[in-house]
Amino acid sequence: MNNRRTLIILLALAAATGGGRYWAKEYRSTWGTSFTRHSQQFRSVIEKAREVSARREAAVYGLGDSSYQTQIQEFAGRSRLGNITVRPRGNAEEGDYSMVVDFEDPSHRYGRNQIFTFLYNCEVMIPRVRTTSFSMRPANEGSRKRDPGSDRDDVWKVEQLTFVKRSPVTNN
Amino acid sequence: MRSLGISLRPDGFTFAICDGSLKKYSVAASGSGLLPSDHRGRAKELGKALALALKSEGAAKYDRVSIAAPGLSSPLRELSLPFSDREKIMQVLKFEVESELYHLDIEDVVCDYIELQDERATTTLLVASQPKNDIQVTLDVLDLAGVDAPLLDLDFGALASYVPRIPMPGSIEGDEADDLSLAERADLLHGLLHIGPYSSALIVFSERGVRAVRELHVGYRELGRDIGPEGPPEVHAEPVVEGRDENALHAAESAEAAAQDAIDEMLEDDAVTEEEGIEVVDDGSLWGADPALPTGYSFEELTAKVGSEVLADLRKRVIAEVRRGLIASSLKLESIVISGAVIPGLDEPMQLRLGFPVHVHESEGGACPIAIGAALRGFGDKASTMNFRQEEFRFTKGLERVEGPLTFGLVSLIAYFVLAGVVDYKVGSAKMQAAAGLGDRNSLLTLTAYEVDQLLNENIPEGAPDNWRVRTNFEGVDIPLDQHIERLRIGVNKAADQLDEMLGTDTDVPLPQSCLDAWRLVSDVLARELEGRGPRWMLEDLALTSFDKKARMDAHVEVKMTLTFFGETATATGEGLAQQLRSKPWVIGLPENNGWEPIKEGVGRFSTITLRVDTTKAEEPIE
Repeated sequence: MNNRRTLIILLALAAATGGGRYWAKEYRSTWGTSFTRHSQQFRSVIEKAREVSARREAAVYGLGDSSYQTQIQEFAGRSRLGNITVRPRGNAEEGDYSMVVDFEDPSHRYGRNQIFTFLYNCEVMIPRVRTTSFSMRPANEGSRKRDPGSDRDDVWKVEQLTFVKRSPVTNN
Repeated sequence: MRSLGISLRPDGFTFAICDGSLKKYSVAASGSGLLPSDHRGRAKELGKALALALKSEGAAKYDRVSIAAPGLSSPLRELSLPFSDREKIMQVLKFEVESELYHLDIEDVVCDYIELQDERATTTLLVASQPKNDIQVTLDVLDLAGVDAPLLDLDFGALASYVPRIPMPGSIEGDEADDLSLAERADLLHGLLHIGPYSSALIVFSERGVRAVRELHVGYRELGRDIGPEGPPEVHAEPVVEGRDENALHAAESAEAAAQDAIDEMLEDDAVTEEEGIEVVDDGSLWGADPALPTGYSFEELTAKVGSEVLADLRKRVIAEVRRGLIASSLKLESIVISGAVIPGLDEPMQLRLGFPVHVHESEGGACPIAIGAALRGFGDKASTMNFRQEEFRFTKGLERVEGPLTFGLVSLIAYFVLAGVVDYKVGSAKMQAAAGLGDRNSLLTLTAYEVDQLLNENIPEGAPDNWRVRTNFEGVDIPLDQHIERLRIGVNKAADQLDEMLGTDTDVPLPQSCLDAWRLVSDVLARELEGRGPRWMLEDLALTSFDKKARMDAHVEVKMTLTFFGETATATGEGLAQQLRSKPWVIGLPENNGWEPIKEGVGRFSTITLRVDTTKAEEPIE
């Protein structure tokens, strides 16, 4: 084999290996980017799936008997808020459907996180439900209101709580 | 491998293509050409004729090419040096031989050598000094022929490569040398007399290699000295002289005359060469050949034209030259082989005169031994290491100049590409496996699919719609591997949309603003502004009420909270908090408070702050 032919073969090999190297670089770059995207989508897809799973679970209640009150009571139970009574007003299928929540234990004492989680679950899990009225004050041993600035525990009594489920109004 | 050997002569050329390797080869093609007896434009005609002959004989395609130029004008000198390394020899060669070439300017010649195999302890070299003008003529002829040869040898150098292929007299005679040992047989000297057109070469050799070389200035063209087409010559041929110095003088004078003639010719043919774009050093007699000798006749034509007396004269002259050469060398030969232009009736009188057997050698396919020898050099034969492409003639127009660095660079580049490519591929494969490896339980795709299966496809309640199942396996589907997780995401989003559609949460009816959202927004400000710095503080009560959009007011949540700040700076802290709340884009209007009143026990103040919050203007509203 003469030198020129050797050079031509080397050139061809260099071109081929250069092409291979370019492909390998692209392959690495593609899967580097793809790995990052997979990491992001891994989190977002699972979060979304969890949300859908929870909403499906919650929706089953309404699918069976349209009992939103039951769902709210279920969430209160999960947040260890004890028994509650829900006083509905309006049409659950159309317009505003108001649900006033009363706590059966008049001397109930809840942490702020307990109450916040209960409200969050109700709004996320029950379709088109929002908290429209809420008030709380420090829980006392008795009925007497404490003076501002006096030492006390971070426990609260819910004085008022109303949810509204708003649905489109059908024009008949 | 095909190796082309070309022997250039002042009156024409011969060539041979050898196919194979140094150990085993065959002459695939051979040919020759003669120039007419026209003293003008010889180099040009020779180049064109060579190109045409190579093409017509199918010798234009080859892997290597070597040239044997005529050694007519090259003075030969023997030199002894105490070392044999070629690199070292080449460093001192010109210096050592300069004193022997008193009639030449050492800068006007290129020197090279072949190593002679004799009994001396030192290295004996036969140094040839080729005039640069002749080298240039050779290169011009080759340029016109379209041959770019990296190896330029002389005719006797090519013959040195050829002689080992000549059957040894032992095998010719059959029994004469049978009694000798191998070492003794290896020392037996034989001769090769190659009779050329203007000169002849006498190579004395043994199995160990070339022992001596003599360039005899007598060739078969002497037959036509009196029958040239231009009539009786005005310039008489110079006598063939014996001895290296006289031969060298003769060659130098010829070269000088040739160079002068070339300049004259070039001036005359300037217009022609300019038109063709080729610069040619032309001469009436190339490489110092005697211009009085006609070139148009072949050897056979010459022998047919001349009388027996002329032939007999030439025979006598050749025999005398050989004899004188051998006597001068003090060498005793076992036999001699004649090749080239074998003058009829030469062998018998030569055998009688010299006293040892004379054989006529016929080369393979009738090709010229010089051309075959040159072709063998292309295979890598080392009998002659001469190459006159040195100094300014060193580089060919081809890739030889950059061949080494280019090869090194290309090999390095290939190695880099291979290594980097393998590394990239391995890393890419690892990333691919970690991201979307279908057989890997820990890949992100497999984990995601597993989680989605567990969350959405397992334990689907009875009575649930059929389309609640989300597809998580895309094997066999014609989509790129990195798109599987995207399909999974689309499937989960579709499940969410189906749920919204089923529950009626995809309508455009605006929902009341959430008290929970307002509580989160306000709590974030309290935590960020008050916790961990400043005085102790306390939330006394909290009331949130959502209002729908009215004529004068957008939908909002009214937040009413009572806060207590302890310490002397309580009022300032409270005012600072109000300032922070005012700066929030989701606060409508200005926060109000009913004044900072002192607490009953300890040092501090409290106040009820009222503000309206538009949760839709928060940066990250809770969905």
